[in-house]
Amino acid sequence: MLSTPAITQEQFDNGRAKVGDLLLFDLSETGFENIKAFFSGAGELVYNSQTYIGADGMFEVGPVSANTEGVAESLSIKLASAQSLGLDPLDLVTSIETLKYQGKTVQFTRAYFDVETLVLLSVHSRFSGYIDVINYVDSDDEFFAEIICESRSLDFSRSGTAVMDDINQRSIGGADDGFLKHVQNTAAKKIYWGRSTPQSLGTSRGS
Amino acid sequence: MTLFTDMSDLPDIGIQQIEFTLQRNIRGFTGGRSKQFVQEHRDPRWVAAFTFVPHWNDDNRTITAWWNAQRGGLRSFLAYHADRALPMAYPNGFSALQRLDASTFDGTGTIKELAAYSLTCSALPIGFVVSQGDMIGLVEGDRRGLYEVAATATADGSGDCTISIEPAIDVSVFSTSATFNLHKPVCKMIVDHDSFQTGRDFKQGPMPASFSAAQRLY
Repeated sequence: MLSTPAITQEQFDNGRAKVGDLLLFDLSETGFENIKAFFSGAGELVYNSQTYIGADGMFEVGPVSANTEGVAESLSIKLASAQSLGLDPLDLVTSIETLKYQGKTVQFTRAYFDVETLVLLSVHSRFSGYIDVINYVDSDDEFFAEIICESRSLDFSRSGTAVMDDINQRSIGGADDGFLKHVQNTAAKKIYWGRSTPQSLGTSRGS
Repeated sequence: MTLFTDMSDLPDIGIQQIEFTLQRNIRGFTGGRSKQFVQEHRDPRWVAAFTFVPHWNDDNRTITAWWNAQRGGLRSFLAYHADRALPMAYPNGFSALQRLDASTFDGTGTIKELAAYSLTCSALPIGFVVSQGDMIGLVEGDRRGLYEVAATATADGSGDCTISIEPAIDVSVFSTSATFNLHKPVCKMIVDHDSFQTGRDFKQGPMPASFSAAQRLY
């Protein structure tokens, strides 16, 4: 359930809002600072000690979708480049490929401002995920870098191992579950999340 | 002859027709009931269409030289609202006006306070009237802001005047170090690269040239 701060809700109740989009790439490598945090307005926005560069419409974020099945959703972010933002085409195209961007986190956040004073009221996370691939589009009338991201649901489809110990047991079965009560033949067992559970294994909680 | 560079002015040729409007990025929703939900995405900007007076050969050359120097929008130019180059109350300029310190008022001054939709100007002549619909510009370094006065205001006994304006000032861009300008206030604009129209009709005589442009914010 999305909770909206009263101060933002009051503007929604009046049927109005001033909206901005924030994009934050967690690219910790040196030399990538220019392509890190963007704000859809002009100027600059400081939020959570992070300065977002006003890209003034130089990026466009595709529709955010979601599902309840734990399957990863992708999100497309189009990013143009503008020299006046300290983000020239060479910066983007020549340096981005030298950096390990794949798998770095991306956060897409919506910000609401007071319509009269333009003071930042609240922010709401809309998408959180990882950079997958970056495509360069150079068509007849436009050019941009398209960053394809995958949502954090991607983590659900990763297989891993869980060690069955006493604490683990109790967190699954409750405080009364005893030491290795559910483990009959192995001490370590593979657990599947989301839809990738093979039918033959039944549920993931021990069979 | 003038060499047109980045941030050059419009060529000094009469303008016959101008459209100068504020473009807002508004998304709305009308539900079953008549209530609308309105959201503003991104900052508003000025868009303009200029048509020069029909010109003879020499002016035509100046206009095409200026247009080509814009390099299709790689460069920006300084655009002003040709119909509102001076405040309504001072259509002939500020020649007889003096500031409080007896210096000549040239349409510029300093900024005392800035907020989203209001600014307090200093160093105006006492009793100076800024009328609704006048254009006022802000200059800070390379940055230019252009705003329309929302309500008539008069400078007080110390030459200060608080003015309501549209669109909002981005306070992360302009500070109180900015100066204001009331004579030909400008904003930076980029030409729409395919909007230029010009021609010569040897039978009919001179023809006007026209183009459109949009503000580059700051």
